[in-house]
This record gives sequence, structure tokens and C-alpha cells, in this order.
Amino acid sequence: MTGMKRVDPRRAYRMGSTGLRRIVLGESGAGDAALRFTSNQTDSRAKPLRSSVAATRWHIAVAHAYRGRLDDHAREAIAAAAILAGPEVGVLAVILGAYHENAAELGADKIAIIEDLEASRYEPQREEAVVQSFVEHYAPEHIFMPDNLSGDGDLGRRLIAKQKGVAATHVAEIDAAHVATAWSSGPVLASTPLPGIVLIDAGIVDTNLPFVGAGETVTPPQLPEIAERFRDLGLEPSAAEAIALEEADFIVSAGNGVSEVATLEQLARSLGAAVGASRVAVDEGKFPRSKQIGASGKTVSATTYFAIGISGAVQHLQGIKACRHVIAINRDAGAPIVKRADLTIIADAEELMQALITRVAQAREQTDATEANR
Amino acid sequence: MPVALAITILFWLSVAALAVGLARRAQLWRAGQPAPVARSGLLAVPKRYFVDLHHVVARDPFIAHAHVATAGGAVLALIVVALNYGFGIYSEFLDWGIVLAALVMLVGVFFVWQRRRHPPARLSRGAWDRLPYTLAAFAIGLLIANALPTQILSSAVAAIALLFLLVGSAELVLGIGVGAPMKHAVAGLLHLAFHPRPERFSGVRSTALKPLPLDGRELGVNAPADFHWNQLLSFDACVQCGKCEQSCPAFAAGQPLNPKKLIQDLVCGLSGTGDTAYAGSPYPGIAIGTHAGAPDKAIVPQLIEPQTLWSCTTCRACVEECPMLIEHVDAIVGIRRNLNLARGDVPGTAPDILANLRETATQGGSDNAARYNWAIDLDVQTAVPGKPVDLLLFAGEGAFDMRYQRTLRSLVKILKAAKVDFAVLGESECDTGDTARRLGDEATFQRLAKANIATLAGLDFKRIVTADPHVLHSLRNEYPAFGGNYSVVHHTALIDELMTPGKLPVLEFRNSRALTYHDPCYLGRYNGEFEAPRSVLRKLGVNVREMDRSGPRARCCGGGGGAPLTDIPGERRIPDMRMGDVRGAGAEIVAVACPQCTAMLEGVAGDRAEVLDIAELVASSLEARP
Amino acid sequence: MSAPFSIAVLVSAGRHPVSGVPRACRGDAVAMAIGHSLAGSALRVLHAGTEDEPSLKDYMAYGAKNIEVVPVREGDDAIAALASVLRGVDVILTGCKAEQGAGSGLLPYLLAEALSRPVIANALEVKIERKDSSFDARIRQFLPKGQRRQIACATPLVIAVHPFAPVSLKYAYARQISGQIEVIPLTNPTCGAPQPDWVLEKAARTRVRLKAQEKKSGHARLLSAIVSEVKGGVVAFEGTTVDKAQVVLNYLREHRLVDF
Repeated sequence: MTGMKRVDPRRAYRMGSTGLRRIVLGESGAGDAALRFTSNQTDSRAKPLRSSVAATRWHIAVAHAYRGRLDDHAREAIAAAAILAGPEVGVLAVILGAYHENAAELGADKIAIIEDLEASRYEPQREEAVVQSFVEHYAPEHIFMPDNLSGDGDLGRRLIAKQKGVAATHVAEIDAAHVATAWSSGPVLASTPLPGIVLIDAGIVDTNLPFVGAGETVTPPQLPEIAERFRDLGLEPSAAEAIALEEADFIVSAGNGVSEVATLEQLARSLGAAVGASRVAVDEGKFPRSKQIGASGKTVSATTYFAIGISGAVQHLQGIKACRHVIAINRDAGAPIVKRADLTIIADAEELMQALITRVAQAREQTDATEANR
Repeated sequence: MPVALAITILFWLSVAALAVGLARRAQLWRAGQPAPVARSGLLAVPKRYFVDLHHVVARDPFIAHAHVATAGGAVLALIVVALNYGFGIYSEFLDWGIVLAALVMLVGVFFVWQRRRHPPARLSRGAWDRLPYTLAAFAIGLLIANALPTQILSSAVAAIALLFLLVGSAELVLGIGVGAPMKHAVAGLLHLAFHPRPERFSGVRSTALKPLPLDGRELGVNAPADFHWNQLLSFDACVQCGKCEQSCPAFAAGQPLNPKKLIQDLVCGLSGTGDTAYAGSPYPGIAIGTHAGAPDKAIVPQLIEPQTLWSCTTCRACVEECPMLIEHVDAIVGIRRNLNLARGDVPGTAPDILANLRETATQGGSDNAARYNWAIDLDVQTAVPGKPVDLLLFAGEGAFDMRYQRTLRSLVKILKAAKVDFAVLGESECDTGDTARRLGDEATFQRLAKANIATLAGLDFKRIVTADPHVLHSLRNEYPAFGGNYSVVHHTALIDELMTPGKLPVLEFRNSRALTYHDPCYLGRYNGEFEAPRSVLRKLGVNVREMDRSGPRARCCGGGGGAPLTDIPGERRIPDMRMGDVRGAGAEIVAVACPQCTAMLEGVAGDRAEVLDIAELVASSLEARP
Repeated sequence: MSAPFSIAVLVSAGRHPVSGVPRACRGDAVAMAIGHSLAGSALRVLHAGTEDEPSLKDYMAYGAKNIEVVPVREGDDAIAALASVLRGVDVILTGCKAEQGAGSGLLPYLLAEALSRPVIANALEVKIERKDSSFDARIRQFLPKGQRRQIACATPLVIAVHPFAPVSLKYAYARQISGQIEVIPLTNPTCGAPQPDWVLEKAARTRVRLKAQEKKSGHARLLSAIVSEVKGGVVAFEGTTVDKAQVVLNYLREHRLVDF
């Protein structure tokens, strides 16, 4: 009896997104409920440096930041540069636009932030010149960029065209020796040795690194005076709820269980999401036919799909196959959507939407206040 | 004998007017394209009139009797008048024959008048409303002229009688020349003689669309003159009774289609007039009087708006109801072919679906190799050349629909329980092209049909079974024109057959809920199969509660003809109305036999009956066995 | 309709991503539709390849009356060949990405570089306006999350059209029968610029995600194998509505799905 180990009921745990305790193995001490979802601000000091050797050669990762942050796709490009770097290879992250996070946790040894080159402006020639100056200074072995439509894919291709070197775009798989791309957009891959410039697709690199980079800040170079051949006439004002479903990244979608369309639209606005609907909700006349998602409506590929009061008929699920995160609010725990959803809240749709609208507004205020303090 | 002479003169004048009018009208029909017709059709007119046409008219006994009396009396009277006065016999005895015929006609006219006093909404008004009076004038004129002895016939009365006769004769004989209501009599009889689908008169349910030559001439119908001449003739036969309007699901749903108006618009087109004189129901939502056409002018959009043509579900309810046996669906698909093939103008999501069919041979752009993925765990053999099987299962597009896969799996379970030697077609199956064809894409249909025929030619099987009536229709009725002749059976007919000798050990369907059966258009009206599904349900011990619109008069689910793809807005949705019919029958389960019907009826929002395929019902009764 | 400026669209051999059946590359067909709306029949339609390319039929059905084929064979420098033909053309339209092969989306950039002219990608709408003696292109550019940008640039230029451009493609079989193909004589094909050597794999397989190698003890590896992350399929029943709203917000923040 005495020798048998017993489970400590007060051992370390963290709160899962469901509100359930998740026990943290291999640690001792009392659980700390305040440890909720801190993965955004992982304590980088706890991790070792990737390399303690002085860099003799370089990888460069280039990406735009938005509202002071890098999106997952951009983070993957920097992480790829770090993961594929040998001990004697340094990683320079060139971040275009203001950036308030720490790229060291993505493995960047040097970080150059060019605040002037905001993604909201169109200055491809200046961007090209800046990146070119880093390329000339560091003579990198490889340049990594996210292949997106918000500026990096365009900039990367301009660099490739200028350099006339071997490059790969739409990279769907990468390792130290090779890159692969989907051949003819099909299921079969074609591979080639790791080329000079690599533009990667989203979702191909794990940004959870066991190490950190040195994270030394580099003074950005003097921006060259360039007369752009393009005249940027500015961004058009756009309303999230007016976004076409096909290109929406965040969709709040209504089903039979939504009684107040206005509440749903308000929630969509507060989350910056497009509005969709199930066939039933469309048939009831609550939404126009153009909002219908499913086999007989639109097929969507949003990163986040928020299904409210949708039971999840197979035809509907066919339309959201490509969605990465599905969150469902439903009264019935037995509805088919529950099986598909990554997170399901069993609740009354109207009440929960109201609560969420309030909570999101608070959270936004806090974030904006922090932003203003910087 | 001045009155008799006057009648003789009037008779021959009328004959001349009729001949001139007919020649003029025939000139308009001749603008159409040549069509192979048999002159012997003229000889067949009496049979076609009294049997085939009357068979349809007799569904409404009141008007059937009224018409028999009116038309019968008039025709009889005219024949006797022709004998007695046309050839100058002037027999008093024959005069009494005329009187008798005129009396019969007058009785008929009385009932016509009755109907016209409180006409149902489907009937056209306008010129048609004067018919009881002009026809009565004709009958009364004959009566006065022939019944009263010459001695007491004062010149004033004789003049009145002749005036009545003149008015009546004018209605009868000028109609064909000026396009007035009585043109239906002449055009109708000629239409029966030169019908575009003469096989309909030999008891065949002729429903297959005619192949379109794809050799670079005008593809489909652009202008009225692009119709075959006998199609133009058929439009002139229309009596505007509105039976088609009453049966049209799109019209009922408030979509901008009214088959009667469509045919009348085509009449305007062939005669180069506008629709201002039209006095029937409009296309819902489209005002009358804004459209006009000419034989050589494009039909769309000056004469008919595109959304009218794309509202049609090709359910053939209008054709089924038409007493003049007009082929509305052929006309609509003919114009759709031109819109599609020559202009590329197809609304809604239909262009994407047609692109998918061209590029993947599936409607959803799916991987053809995945068509039978639903059967992977069922241990079903795939047909291979050189290995004979009794039965080939042709799944169709429903194979990609996760809902309909349940039906297909049920069907496989039944086939296995009955120990049928069967195989599935596998990845060499292409879409049959049914949807493409209804949408007017004849090029894609023919390509897919030829691909399937080539595949089937390499296989050794006795029969094909399918759970999709659209597949059934293509394979059974439309592929023969391209050299594919198969014995094709619908799954309900096969199940019925298997249940007959007790090959299939089914239990009674243990469910106390009331059940009704929805006839798919492509199984019922297109293929005449009304009995097998009901027989299966009977054998399951189910008492089918029939809906008001069932059997040949079943209302469409709204899923045919590519209508869900073109998605023309209306005031209601057709499946909602059909679910209303189900509710009206007091049923809690609606048995179906088609993937389209399943999808459309299951898409009805709110509290509704459960939708189950007959295969599912049978399979569940197999499950119940210990 | 004729246009005072010269305009051409480049169309590539498209293939359906699932079936591999030859078809008009969707993006190129959209670019061609934009070209037709700008210049009508004055739009030149060019294809670098061979005249027997089956997908050209599809472009005809989509409205190309005459397709000029720039003869380019395997190993030839398509960019140089196209540049030699397109030197005098004011506006060159392309799609954003070929459907066959690697589909790098580099062609408009390489072509612009070879012709020393600017390139704008992801165009949704294009207007060409006269400005003094030359022409000015006004472009509405696609950006993710529903954003749109307006850009102006003087001709000559290269415009790569985004497939979401608001044009309706009209496929008419009759035009496929009446269309024509013409081969442009080329004098000296040059050897291509360096291209990656793609080696096609034999079958489809799941893609391997790049993951940093962790130096862990055996115990740690064992633990990581048995402790799984909080993953899909979790259901929250309990708590107040506010708690549940917090759970949703936590999820969104944890996965960086919102930026607050």
C-alpha cells in the first residue's frame, strides 16, 4: 500500500476551452486557473536558444504584419526559415509594417521592422527595394515568404522575376532537402530541391517551436527614394457582412434555431464576419438565396465557421467541408453538427449571441486600450 | 326558292373563305422547318379525334358533353347543309336533318354559355366569350331557315335567319384566316393528322426529346420559324382552356411561367402580332401587352422572357392535361437549346453544373472514381468486360449525395437479400446527361450519352436497374436514338417483381403512421409507371393515402428540368406546395422513388412529413426479421 | 467594337483539378471576358503552346473568335517568345495561375520583367482611360477578407486577373464550331530561363507538416504521445451563458481567429 503512487487531486491543470480541467502531466504543484490560454504569450525565456554559434550564413523570412501582428501564415514562413536553418545559419525576419509581438519565439535571430511599409498601402517598388537591400547585405541562402494574396505573394513573385533564379511558389510541403507543390492543383505532389526563394502555402509548418531565436532588432535601412509607377488610390471601405461567402475567412451562419436575424447580424458585425445561412433559414425567407451554404448553395472555405442554431444536415456539412474551425451553438446535443464541430456550446442561440456580443465588445475595448498604450 | 339559294350561295362563299383563310394560315406554318410527316395521318384523324383527344377531354365530363353536342351538331349540320344546299338537292327531308343537328348544337351551346357565365380562372376570355352567341346565332339561323315552312317564312324573318347564319358562318370559317377562336377546329384536326409525335396515338408514352443535329446550322429555336412547321401548326390548335395553366407547378408557385400564355405567345410569333389581344392569365409577375414577335425575329426576349423558359421543371403535367395534345415541353426545350448552345445564356448555377458535366462527367464536379464510394463496405462487385451479370446498377448523380446514398445502400441490401446477381458500373459511369439535355445543352448530353453507350457496349448484362427515374428515362427512352438499346427497370418495379414470387423475405411494414406516395414525374408521366411503387407498398401492408394530385396528375416536386439550378424566383416554392399536398392527405410519411424528389421534399422547412424512399421502407422491413 | 489601344489576353491550357480533362483555365477565361468587355473583338487572344491543344476549343466557346498560337515547345522559353510577340501591345491580360503543372503564377511577372513594364496582380475590374496622349489603366484589386484596392497605372502594363472578377462566363457550343486557330510564325525560339526541376510523385499522399525536431527525453516523448491537445468534438453543457460566451471567445483567441 505504502509504495503505491497515488493521483494527487490537486495536481497542475489548465482550463480547456470547454471549461473542463486538463491535467498537465509531468509537473507538480497546485493548479493555477489563471493559466488560461496563454499560448499567445508563451514565455519565451523558458525555451533554449536555437543556436549558440555565431551565424555565418543567413535565411531571410519576409512578411507583412497587420495591426501589429503576424498572421499564422506569416508566422509559418519565419518558423520554416528557423527550422530549416543549421546551427551556423542565422534567421533574419524582415517584417513590413508595425509589429508589436516578438518574432524571437518564431526563431528569428535578427528582426528588421520597416514600419513605413504598411500592408494597407500599395508600394511594391519600395518594398522590393528594401528587401533587395537586405538580400544584398546578407546574401541569404534561402528566402521564405507566405504565398498569400495580401501582398507577400505579389512581393515574392516580383523578387523572383528580378532575380531570375530558381524559385518555388505555392509550396505545399517543405523540408531541409526539398519542396513540393500540388501538381496541376490536384492531389499528387511534385517535388524539387529546396530553391532560393520559397513561397509557402498556409498550414504546412508547425509554428510551435521548442527553441527561440536571438531576437536582436536590426535598424531598418534608409528607405530609398523611388517614384512608384503605380498610383495607389487607396482601399475601398468595406463592410464585413457584405463580403461574398466564397472569400470570407470568418462566417457566422444561421439556421432554424435563430429567431432574431438582427442579433445574428450584430454578432457578425462585432466579429467582423460574413453572414451565411442554412437552407432552412433561407427557405423561411430570413436570408436571401445568395447566403445559402450547403450542397445546393455555396461551398465555403472560411477558416472559422460559426454555426448558430444549425442542426447540420448532410447537405449543409458538404458545403463546409473545407472550414478549419467549426464552432456550433445548438440546443440539441444530438444534432449532427455536434459531431462536425470543434467546439459546441449547448445553449439558447439568442441568449448566447447576446452574451457573446457583450463579451466581444469588452474584449475589443481592452485590446484597443492596450494598443493605445503602446 | 330565294332563301335556299341564299343558303347555297352563303355555303359556297363560306367554303371559299375557309379555303382562302386556310391557305393564308398554312403559309404561316410553312415558314417552319421541314418535318417528316405521313399523309396517312389525315385518314387517322377521326380515330385520333374521337379516341385519343376525347380521352383527355372526357376527364371533364361537363365540357366533354357540351363540346360533343356543340361540335357534333355543327359538323353534322354542315355536312347536311353541304349535301342539301351545296349540291342543290334542296330536299325537305334533309332539312329536318339540319334542324335536328342544329337543335343538338343549340343544346351544346347552352352548356357552353353556362360555363362562360361563371368561367374558372384558367379559361381565356376576350374573343372566346362571344362564341356561345355566334354559335347560337348559327344554330338558330339554321333552325329558322329550315324548320319554318317556306310559306310562313316572311321575307323579314328570312332576312333575320340569313343574318344569323351569316354571323355564325363568319365565326366558323373566318377563324382560321384571321386567327380567331374557331381556328382551333381546322388547325386542331390538321394537328391531329400531322402531330410531331404520332406514336402517341398508338398507345406509346412518347416522352423522349428528339436529338438535335449539331452541325452548325441554327442550333435549337431562335425565331418561331425555327420550329418544325407541324409544331407551329400545333400551337394554332390551342383552345386556351387553361388546363395546362391549372396543372403547371411553376405557375402555381408564382414563377413567371404559364404554359397557355407561352403557346399563345408562340402563336403571336408565328403570325407576327403582339399579345395585346390575349385575354387569359398572364405569366405571374409579367404584364400582358409588352411582347410581340415575328416569324423571323428572335423569340427571347422580345416575345418571351428568358425567366419564363427557365421556370419550367419539364414535369409534363401540361402535356398530360392538354386536350389538343400540344407538346409544351418540346417547345420550351427547343428555345432553351438555342439560348444555351448559341448564346451561352443560362441563369443561376446552371452554367457551373454544365461546366462540371463537360469537365468531370458529374454534376457536382466530383471525382468519378468516387461515385461508388458509398458501396465500398457493402462488398459489391464492379462490372468488368467479359464477366456476365444479370443486373447492372446504374446509380446516377444521387451517388454523390450523402442523403441518397442511404437509399442506394438500402437497394443494395434488398438485391443481396433477394440473391440477385448484380454489379455496379463503377468509375466508368458518366452522368446520363439528363439535366444537361433539359437545360438545352444537347452537345454535352450527346457526348455523355455516347460515352455511356460505349461503356455499356463492353459489358455483359441482361438488365439495368436504377433508383433515379431521370437515369431511367435517359437510358430507356433517349439513348435508343444514339444506338443504346437496353432493358432498363426502375428499382420500385424490380422490388415489386422480387416480392411477387416471395424471393424477398419482407415483413409487414410495422409503422402506424399514415403514408402517402409521391409520383416522380420522370417515373410516372414520363414512363407510365404508377403501379409498381404502389404495389410494393401494398405488399408491405401499407395503406397508401393518395394525395389529390397523384398518379398521372401528380404535382412535380420542383426538382426536374434543371429548375433548382436556374432557380427562378416565385412567390412560393414548389416543394412547399407539394408538402402541403402531403399534409392535405394527412400523411406523416411521404414515400418517394427519386433522388431529386427526396432532396426537394426534404428541403422543406418547418414541421413536415418524413421523406423515405421506397427502397428504404422495404429494407427496413427486411431488417425487422429476426 | 474596336479600341484605340492594343490589348491581348494570354490563355493557357487548362485542366480540371479533379478529372484532368482539358478545359479553359478558369482564371484565363475570366481575363478574356474582361478583355472582351474592354475592347470587344479587338482583343487578341494568344496561346503559347501548340495549335492542337484541346482546351483551345473551350476558349472559343467562351467567345474567342480567333486564337493566335505562339508556337512554344517543351524547353523553349515561352516568356521570350511571348515577349517578342507582345512588345507593341499596350495592355496584356493574363490569369493569375495556370491549371497545369506547378501553376506558379509567375508568368505575368516574368513577362513584365522581360518587357520592362509594370505588372499588377489580382485585378478584379479594369478600366482603360485616355490620359493626354497615352492611356491610363484603373484597376480594382482583390485583397483578402473582402478588402479592395484601387490602383492606377499608365500603359503599357501587364494585368493578372483574379478569378473572382465579377464577369459571367458564357459558354456557347455554337461559337466552338465557328472559332479559328492561327499560328504565328516565330523566327528563333530561345532556350528557357532556369526553371525548377519538378519531379512528379506517383500517387497522392498525405502531406508532411514541417515540424521542429525536439530533443526530448524518452519520458517526455512518451508523455507527448499520450497527452493530446484539446482537439475537436468538445461540447460545453454547463455554466452560465456568460461562461459559455467566454468559452467561445477563449477558443477564438487560442486559435488566433480574432485579432483582439
